[in-house]
Amino acid sequence: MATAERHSSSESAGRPRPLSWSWLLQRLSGVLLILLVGGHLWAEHFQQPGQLIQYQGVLARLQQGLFQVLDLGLLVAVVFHGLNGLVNVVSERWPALSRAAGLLGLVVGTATVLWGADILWVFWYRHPFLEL
Amino acid sequence: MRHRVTVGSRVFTFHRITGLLILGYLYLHLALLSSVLLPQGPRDFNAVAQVVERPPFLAGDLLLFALLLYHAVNGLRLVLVDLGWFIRRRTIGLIGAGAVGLVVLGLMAGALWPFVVR
Amino acid sequence: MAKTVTVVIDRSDAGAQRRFEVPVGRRETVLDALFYIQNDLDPTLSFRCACRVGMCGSCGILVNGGERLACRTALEPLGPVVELAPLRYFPRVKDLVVDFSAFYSRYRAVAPYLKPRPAVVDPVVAPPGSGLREEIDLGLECISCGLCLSACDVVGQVPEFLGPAALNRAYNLVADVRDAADAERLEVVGDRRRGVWQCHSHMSCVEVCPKGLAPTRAIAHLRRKLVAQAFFGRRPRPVPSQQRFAEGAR
Ligand code: FES
Repeated sequence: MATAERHSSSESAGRPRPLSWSWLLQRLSGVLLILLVGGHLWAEHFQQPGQLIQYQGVLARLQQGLFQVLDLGLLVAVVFHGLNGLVNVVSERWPALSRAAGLLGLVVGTATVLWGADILWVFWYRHPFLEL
Repeated sequence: MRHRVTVGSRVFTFHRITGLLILGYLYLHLALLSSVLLPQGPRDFNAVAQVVERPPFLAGDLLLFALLLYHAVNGLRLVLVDLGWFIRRRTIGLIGAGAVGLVVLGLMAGALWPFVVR
Repeated sequence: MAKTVTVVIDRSDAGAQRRFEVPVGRRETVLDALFYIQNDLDPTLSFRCACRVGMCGSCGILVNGGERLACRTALEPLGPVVELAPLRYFPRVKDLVVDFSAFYSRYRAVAPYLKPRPAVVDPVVAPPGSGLREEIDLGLECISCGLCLSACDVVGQVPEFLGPAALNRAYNLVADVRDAADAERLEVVGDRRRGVWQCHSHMSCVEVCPKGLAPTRAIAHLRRKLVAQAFFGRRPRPVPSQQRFAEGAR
């Protein structure tokens, strides 16, 4: 009886709950990206079809708080989705490298987000090195 | 023995290839923007915008869009498969994904037309 | 003169005869051809079979590169040349016979048998429409022929991956209300390296399963359970008793 009880669901509530965050976030970010990339393309290219993208237009759009949040979200999601996918490919082909690939991905990802944020910064505020 | 090459594995290999190409483009995109914007600002931005809207670059844009579209539509299908859809009816899932892709491509072509006839 | 087919067999002994002319009519299977070769042409040929009617799962081989049960594959429609080879990723014993220990150790990892809950009163009544039985029916009938493991290219790349058959079995037991070991099974199938997260949903296993099972479906449902469990905790399962189901059915 005691052995049987040990296997019951209620008794094992303290067991770890295995979950692959990499797997889950890859799917969530993927669905999010369909919306964000779609919105990005639409805003940049299809709002006034046939017209050139102009600096002033991009500036005007990115001065709005909503687009700042959306573009930053797009940046974070796209960097995570892309690099996490790459890390997955590497750790499948070369299991020994999976740890190193994960760490490298984290570093490169952080750097890329900072880089992208620096570009967005140009449009959000007056960039310290630019006079507009 | 070689891996089995099935419809599913082909579709997935292409999914990964498009993913890696898109990741490559992301860095190209960031590099172009930062190299244009940070030193000079608006003047260079508009000059470069004029260059990249010429036909060869538009063709590149179209290719990029095709990659994105494939990756997005197939990715969505895979998410639905993870939710338990289109497993016993995989063919319907694949055909449906293809149909959605073609419709979006059609809309895109329509939207790009003004650039072509300009 | 009777029609013949050239059967080309991937032999383990490099010096052994590989090409055989086999007479064929409309009713012969690939397994019949193997028997003909062994009886009349080359008695050293090794292959495995038992039931000859698609029940035992011992005759799985590659027929023209695709995973098939030799006893359920008609020979004539395959064309004038038929290539036979042992299953992929299994160590070969001889000719078309492979070692199944890695297949069964995967099965063993998920504890493929019922561990009944103490409270279960047998027989458990699953009323029509309760969905309890239907959910499990979709994954029963596995004859452990190993075709899915051979078709799975994730197994080829990540040898620790538990693979379609074992995960299908695990889900069947997790979905079974009489079973008490869902927590420990979910722990095994949720493992980062060998568990469900590795599946790419190619559905090659669904394509080749001679019983029409869909291991990809089982894997999808296991993933859902694991995600739900991580966020919402483990809900105690209702105790199946005749009393309870009788109430539910009312
Ligand atoms: S001999 Fe039993 S399944 Fe083919």
